[in-house]
Amino acid sequence: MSSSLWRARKADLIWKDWGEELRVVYDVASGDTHALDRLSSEVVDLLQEGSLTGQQLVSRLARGLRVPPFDLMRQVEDLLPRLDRLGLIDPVS
Amino acid sequence: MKFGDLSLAERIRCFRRGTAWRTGPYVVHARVPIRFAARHLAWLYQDFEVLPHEVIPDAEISVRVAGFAWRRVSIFSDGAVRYRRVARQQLVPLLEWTMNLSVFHRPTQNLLIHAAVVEKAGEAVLLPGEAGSGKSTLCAALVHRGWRLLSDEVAVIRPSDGYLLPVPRPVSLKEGAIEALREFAPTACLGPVWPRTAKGRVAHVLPPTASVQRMDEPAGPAWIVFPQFRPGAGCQLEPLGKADTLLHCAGNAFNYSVLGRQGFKTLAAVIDICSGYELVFDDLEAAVRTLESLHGRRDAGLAVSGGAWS
Repeated sequence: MSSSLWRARKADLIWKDWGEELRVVYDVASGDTHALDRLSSEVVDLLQEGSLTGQQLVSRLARGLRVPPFDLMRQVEDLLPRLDRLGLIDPVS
Repeated sequence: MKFGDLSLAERIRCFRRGTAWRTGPYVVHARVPIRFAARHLAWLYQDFEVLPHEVIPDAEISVRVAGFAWRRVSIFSDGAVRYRRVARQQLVPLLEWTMNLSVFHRPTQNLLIHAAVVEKAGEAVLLPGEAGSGKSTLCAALVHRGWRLLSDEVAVIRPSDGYLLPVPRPVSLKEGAIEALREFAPTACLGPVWPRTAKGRVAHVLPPTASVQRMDEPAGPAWIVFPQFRPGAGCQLEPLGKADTLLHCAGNAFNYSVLGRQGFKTLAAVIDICSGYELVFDDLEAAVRTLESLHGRRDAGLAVSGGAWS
């Protein structure tokens, strides 16, 4: 897994959680609305707290979700560029 | 005084010279100096109150005729030409579309969703959908089973409390929906069929008198049902998650992005108190029965008073 640092692109996100599989996030700056699954929303949540590498993200998510880190590595690796394309996160250069 | 209180000749004269009426929060003024079209509007709006001339309209529609040829007929709204060279059979449908566009495309703080809305026992169902989804047909059918018509075209959601503001207008049916409604409700007050419009054959259903009389009574949203008419599919009602319901509604909204944060908060609060469904149907009777059964399934505590606005 790459050691690039990632951060949430915007602080101004409004979350709506109905306790279902999908959470909705409204990006105030772009006006876009996204439905994110639990893992995606946890990633954006964590990156809103501060910049993290993919490995740091996996380790924090694994603790929070109580799953082995190895199970999450591939998912997080796929997820980061997708969230980048949605404009929710970006790599720290 | 309603248009229906006037003699037919007086009613037609009103529309030919220009007259105003109110539908929910909107005042419309129309001037249609062509007899058959004025007569048709006089019939469609018979239950609406005639407003005094000094009232300032939100939307101003007019038909202008240059010379005698039909190709010289144009429709204007708010002073700008909307349609030129209007053919005779297209005039009334285009006037109705122009009224919809003029009224619903105005800047407003209310959240506007492309949806039909009907209400029964204080609980409203939104039927969002694109043209061809069957929302107008379903709306007209429900209205003929005792549901109140709030709107055939646009759900107007007040952000302060999430209530739906009625905007009762004629229901526009297209193509096979005309015969489907005639079969479903043989006593339905349907106007003439206008052939060869841009949307095919079109006919208008008279808005029920009771719905027009209650245009100042908002209703609380209870269900959001996305209809999809699909021949051969039977009738299936499937629950939809809240997130998907919100995204589908946002996709059907006219001014969600314009309202920004307020639009999201209003919509999310409506979704809080509503149950979302997808309804695939190929039979009007079965679809109406299915929607009527929702009343019995309503969860306690989901009333508007218990929602995000309380």
